[in-house]
Amino acid sequence: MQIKKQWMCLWVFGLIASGFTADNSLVSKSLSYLVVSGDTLYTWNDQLNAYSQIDLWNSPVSINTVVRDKERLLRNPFALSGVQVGQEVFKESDTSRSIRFIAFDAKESNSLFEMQIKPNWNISTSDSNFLKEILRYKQSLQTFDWAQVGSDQYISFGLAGVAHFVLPTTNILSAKSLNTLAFESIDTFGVRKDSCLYNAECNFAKIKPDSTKNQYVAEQIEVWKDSTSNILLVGSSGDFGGKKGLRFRRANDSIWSLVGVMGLDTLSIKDVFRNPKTGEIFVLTPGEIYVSNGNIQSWKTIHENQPAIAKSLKSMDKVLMTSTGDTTWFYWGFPNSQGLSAYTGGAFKLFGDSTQITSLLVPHTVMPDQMRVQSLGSMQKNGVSMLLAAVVSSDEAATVGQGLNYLRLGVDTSWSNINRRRSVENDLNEVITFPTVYNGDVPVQLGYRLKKTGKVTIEVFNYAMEHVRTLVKNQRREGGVARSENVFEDRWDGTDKYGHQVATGVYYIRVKSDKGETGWGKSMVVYSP
Amino acid sequence: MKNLFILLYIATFSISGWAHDPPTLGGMGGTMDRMGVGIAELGAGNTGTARVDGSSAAFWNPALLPFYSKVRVNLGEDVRFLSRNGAYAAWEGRLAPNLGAGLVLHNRGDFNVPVYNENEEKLGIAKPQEIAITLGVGVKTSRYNSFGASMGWYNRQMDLGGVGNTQFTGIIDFGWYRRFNDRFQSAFVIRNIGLNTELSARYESQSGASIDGFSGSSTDFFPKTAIASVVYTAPWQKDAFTFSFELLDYLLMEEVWDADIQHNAFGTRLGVDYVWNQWISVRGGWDRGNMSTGASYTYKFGKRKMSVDYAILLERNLTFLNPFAIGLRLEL
Repeated sequence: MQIKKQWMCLWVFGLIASGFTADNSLVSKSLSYLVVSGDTLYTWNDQLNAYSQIDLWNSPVSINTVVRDKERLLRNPFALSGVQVGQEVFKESDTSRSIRFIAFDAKESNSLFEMQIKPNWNISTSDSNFLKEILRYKQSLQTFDWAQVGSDQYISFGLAGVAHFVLPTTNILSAKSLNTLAFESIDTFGVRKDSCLYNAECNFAKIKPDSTKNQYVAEQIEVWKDSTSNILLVGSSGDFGGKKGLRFRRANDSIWSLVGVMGLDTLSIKDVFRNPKTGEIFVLTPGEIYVSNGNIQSWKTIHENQPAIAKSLKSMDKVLMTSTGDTTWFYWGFPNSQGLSAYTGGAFKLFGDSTQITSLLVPHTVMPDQMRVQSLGSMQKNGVSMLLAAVVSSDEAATVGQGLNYLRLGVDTSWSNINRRRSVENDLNEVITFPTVYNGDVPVQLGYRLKKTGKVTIEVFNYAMEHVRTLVKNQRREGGVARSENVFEDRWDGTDKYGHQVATGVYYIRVKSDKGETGWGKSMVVYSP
Repeated sequence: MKNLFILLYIATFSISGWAHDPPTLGGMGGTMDRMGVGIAELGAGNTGTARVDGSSAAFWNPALLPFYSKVRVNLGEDVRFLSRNGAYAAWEGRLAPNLGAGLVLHNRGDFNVPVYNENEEKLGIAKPQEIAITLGVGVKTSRYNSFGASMGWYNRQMDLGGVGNTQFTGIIDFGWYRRFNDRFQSAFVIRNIGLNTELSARYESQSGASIDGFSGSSTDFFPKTAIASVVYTAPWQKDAFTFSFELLDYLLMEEVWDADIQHNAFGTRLGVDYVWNQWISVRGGWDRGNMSTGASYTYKFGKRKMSVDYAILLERNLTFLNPFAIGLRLEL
């Protein structure tokens, strides 16, 4: 009996002393939307309601992810799959890195929500009375846009079939109600220009579009401020007395005036984009891209000098735009000929007079017919521009992944991808590592598929099956998905549990689920500093 | 005596639990070194430094070589889960009344590593292998005392077009063996000594080709290892139990000597052999968390003797057995 006690004590002591190392794995998922703030990239996960802050300027790429409502997520994962725009509204200061987002969920509830990411990555939902007011009209809310010129910030909202309005955002979170904002320098326009917007009791949801009168469709709105004059310009699309098109209005001392009309054959405007560097304005519709040099009065179609691509442009379904300096980039896509819900597309570079498409860059890591771009962005730092694309890639059967493609312009010649794309067929019978060979640069990503949703533990062993590191401990992973869900966490950077680089050799990675599934992958380390 | 061994077992077990894992000890070559040579040794927890009837004295302890009475040829194959393979072939024996020598060739590797690039394109199957040749010499200084030294040549092929390959010559082991009486034996071995000022068995991997743009080199070293061993044989009826105990100290630094406990990793090996009627041996062992068992059948033909060894290994952290380990020992 005495010996048994000694055994127990020493055993417990040994276990404690040897140390249980639990990796604090973050919960993240694939990327869907991009928000760029200065030289920092934020991504929005539209399924897990999670944000990531990604540093693409250093290698390896670092990702910090936070889930907005983890408990709620675990109970009932909710998908803001209809999020149309995730925009940074403003940041309070560079030192606090407190970022506020306003996103618009058009698909599920037509609601607005606002979140604030604080330095400790806690996210608080605003209790702004202003937003509460906006939510009262959520049934009519169709789009919003945001603009910043200097320190002035503006946000515009479009209400379906009614009107849209533009607000200065300086006091957006402290405003007590909609009417207290008072639109000091902003006016509304549209056929329903009445007192409703000045009256908090006005219920836009009850206002029905009147087809017999001029009807306004706030499909896309672009707000910008002319750099040479203190003028705010708003472009908005609609049906004005049977004439479809865009109207541009200018505000000056609270007086709005119509400064330009652009006739179109569609109300379905995909994007209105203004290159802040060149002042060029792009209007993107299905099948056509229009560009103006900024005077709004004269327009060209983008393919006038590129007839070969006119046919493709005519069938395009989705357009996204961004810019890096003088260069404007856009992504376009159209349903493929097989009728699948996948899109083909590419990113084009526009030069000079903006009517020449001179090069085609397709993210090389994804087959074009398996890719559609969710969001496009760009950022600059130290003279290097980076083009960003949030990509959804699909195979013939299902979506196999979402992720971020990025291209360092002038530095890299091909797109890099921090997501995995290969379809893993067998439930944990196949755990792949890519790149399998770790050479001290690119972390080893894991690809696997669980049969059932469960909590997963991923561990690394050396050739003698000595434990090297726990990569993931009891983290939830979705079942039935033909790829890893956590591409930024289910990976190995070649270090052991103490943070030391492991020695050259073969290493074995075990993926184990609490549902009884176990799979193994192998990696080869050829670099040990 | 029984209580002594129980206490020793408890103490070493606690040391093993307290000591941290040595995952970086020499990479594949280091693990190869720790995984040992010999199926009989494997079944007894890789306790081989004081085993005169083992599979390779040149590998475990060259001081055992002059105690061999005849020439021995030993072969073995050890295939483990996840396509890991290992094999050995040894020729050892006494050259003179007080001089023994031995040569052992052994390897470990993996014959199925699917290799993907960063874009998940499959490049092929790699079959990395590590091959070592060890030559040992032992001298008996008295009826009970002997010393020995061995030198090893390592060659690693990662099968990646030259990337990660390395060759290393001159890994030196020193051993001492003392036979107190028929019951007590002890040994002390220092492994992996290099020919430089730090006595470090250092090697460098050159990237002869390029994978994903990688080029350059990396350095690594086999950790200097001290092994203290005690063997006690307890007669039981007409047969005997043999208890083996080894304490290992891996020096994680390249210095000649570093007493800092944070710079050392410890481990223990325990083995028990039961020989029944001189023909059947049953054994079990524990090697730094790995549990094993095995058996041997010995057959005499004329003045020669042949033993067939079999072992099963349960590697720690895992829930499955490695059932395929077969060896052959011929005494000519």
